[in-house]
Amino acid sequence: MKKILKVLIAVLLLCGISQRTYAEDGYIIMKEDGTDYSSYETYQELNEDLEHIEEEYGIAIYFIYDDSIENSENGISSYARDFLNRHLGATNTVVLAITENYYTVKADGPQSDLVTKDAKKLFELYNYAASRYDGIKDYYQYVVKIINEVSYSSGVPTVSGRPRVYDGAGLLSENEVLSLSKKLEDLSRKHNMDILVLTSDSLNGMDTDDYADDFYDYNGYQDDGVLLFVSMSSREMYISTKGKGTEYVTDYGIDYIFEKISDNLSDGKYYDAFVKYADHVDRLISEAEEGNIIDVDTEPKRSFGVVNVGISAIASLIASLITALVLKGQMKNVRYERYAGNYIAGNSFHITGMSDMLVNRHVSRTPRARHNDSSGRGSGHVSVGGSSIHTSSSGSSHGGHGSHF
Amino acid sequence: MSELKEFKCPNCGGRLEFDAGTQKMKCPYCDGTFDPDLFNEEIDFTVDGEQWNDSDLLLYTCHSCGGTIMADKDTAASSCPYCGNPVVMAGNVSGIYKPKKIIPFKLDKKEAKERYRKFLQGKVLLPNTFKSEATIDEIKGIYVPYWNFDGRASARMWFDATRRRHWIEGDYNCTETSYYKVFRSGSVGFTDVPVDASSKVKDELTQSIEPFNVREAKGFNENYLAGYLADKYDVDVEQSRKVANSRIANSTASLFASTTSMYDSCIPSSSNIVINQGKQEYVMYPVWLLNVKYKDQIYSFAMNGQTGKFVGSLPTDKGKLVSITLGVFLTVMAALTAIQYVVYLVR
Repeated sequence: MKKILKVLIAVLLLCGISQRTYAEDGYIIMKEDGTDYSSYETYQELNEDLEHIEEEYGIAIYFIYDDSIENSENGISSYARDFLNRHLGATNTVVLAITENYYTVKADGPQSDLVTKDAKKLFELYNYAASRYDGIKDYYQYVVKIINEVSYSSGVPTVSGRPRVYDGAGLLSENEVLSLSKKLEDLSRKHNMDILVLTSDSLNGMDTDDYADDFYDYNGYQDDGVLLFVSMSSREMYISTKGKGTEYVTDYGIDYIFEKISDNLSDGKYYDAFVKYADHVDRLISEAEEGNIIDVDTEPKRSFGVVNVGISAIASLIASLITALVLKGQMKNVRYERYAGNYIAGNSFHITGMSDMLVNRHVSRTPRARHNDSSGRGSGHVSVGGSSIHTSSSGSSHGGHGSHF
Repeated sequence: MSELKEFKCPNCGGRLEFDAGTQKMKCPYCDGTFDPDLFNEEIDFTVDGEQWNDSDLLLYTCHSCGGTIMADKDTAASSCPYCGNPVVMAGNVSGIYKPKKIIPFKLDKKEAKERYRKFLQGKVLLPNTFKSEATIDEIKGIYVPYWNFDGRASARMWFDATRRRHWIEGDYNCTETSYYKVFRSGSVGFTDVPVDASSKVKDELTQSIEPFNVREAKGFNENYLAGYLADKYDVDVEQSRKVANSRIANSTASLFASTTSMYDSCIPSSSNIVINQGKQEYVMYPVWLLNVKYKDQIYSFAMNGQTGKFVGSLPTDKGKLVSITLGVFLTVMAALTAIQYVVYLVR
């Protein structure tokens, strides 16, 4: 009994110690000649940065310089492994440990292999930088880069922090990403929904709908949202909706958006297409919030303006001219008579010869303009109103469909 | 001219006049009415082509416009019905052809004034002061001379015609256009196509009051002229025939074109119309001429003395035209914009 109690106490103590260590350590440990620089202001700045990275990307990156560690390959390696094991918790965890003459990189998580493979590069980034501060920064930025790139090329990207634009296919410039993100962020807040844009070069063997749905589901977005996914490999656009998004953006609404953006996408004007998507989604949702869900039998409202006034002007011009001509015509009923129809003798009209000869015939064909033309949605999907709903691999319900551009 | 030809009232001996309302000879003194045919025997009838040699009719000429009118002695024309200037008596009507037929006046001066009044009604663009300030300067009943032509038109006409058929085939709208060469030949007869034989009465007016019902025409009887003026022809037959033939040809072409109505479009490509002349007749038709003076301008109106068809041109108030057009424009504009806005709001 005493024995069990001892073990329990030991476990509790260990937990307490490890928790305390984690909390005290921070991401950067800098000890030289028996002095601990870790709490210096410059490193606190980097600490905050790294804290942010862990929150945003799920990557915990540690940097250790400690000349009190046993100065040997084994020494540093076991120290780092020890440290790593004590600090697991994030999706990916990376430790770069350095002592007087040796360095080592330890990693844990799905992308650990890729990180350790680049261990030399990581050390060199630190070692050849102008200052330790810059070196540490270069090191962890490179880690983020490795892991994020890998994320995009292995199934659905997993990220956190809910960014609005994932330009995996690199269709947008940095500035375009920034302004589009801002626009989508504003709309997302306005409607309390997640309105997103995702692009990718490769589907990694997945179906377009699964790719889009999973991206939404596995990245911690809200239960209500709309996602536009542009797959460059299959030249497809796909809109995935969830929750209120499914309710508000109907199949008809999706086709309407496709109709508006497909030309821009075909022409490579991706930014324009995404901005239009944002505007139309905003309008569809705004209308729906006022109880007016746009569906097959309701046309999206056009803005009232120049076109309407123009129609009125033309119609009233015609009306006023007709009035003027009729009234003016009343003023005069005198005119020369060019015909003698009044004087045709009764029954005197005789047709004696008559022939109707066909000399030519041709047939012209023009494609019919169809109201619900949705540029070849392969499935032969017919809009009958409402939103078609399917269940994604994570088990949640999504609306939406796609189309080629 | 020593012998006066008067038609004395068998009742009171007063001078009879032909009354358009009753189609009878009427005595203005005792109101007795008599059938004009009763008096026929008193007059020497001339057949077609014959000339007047002894008549009560006097011939007047207008020195201003050159117009020549005939009137019986007692109608005493004093001013030219065409231009309003004084006329002078030029002698009697000897040597002038007599008409073969005449349609007597059926409607009188009162009726003409009434129709004029009605013609002014509902004319929105008429200047406001017109009804009060315009004065009927002159109102005269005139027998206008016409040449009547009969003719039979033979036509051979070719048309380029098309017929279209539409149908839907899968995702395509199909249109089949068939081109035809269409031929028609045949003939049609025209009788009594009238051509105004007086150069003084505007052709535009005399053509506008057509048609006259020639079946009501009577054999010419000088009695019908009593109380009215009459013009004599001054446009020769050949010139008038050209006018009649052109109208006959136009009507023939449109008549044959109407036999191709089963085509969606039909354009005549060539035509050959030959008119075989029939008889021609010199006739007199009744016309009321009104000259209305408004702001120093004369406006001419004419009324068919048989059917009452009233024609003419009225002045237009330009200010009214502009303000009404503008008013309609703005009203319709406002209404349409409002309707569109309501529809926009509702949807």
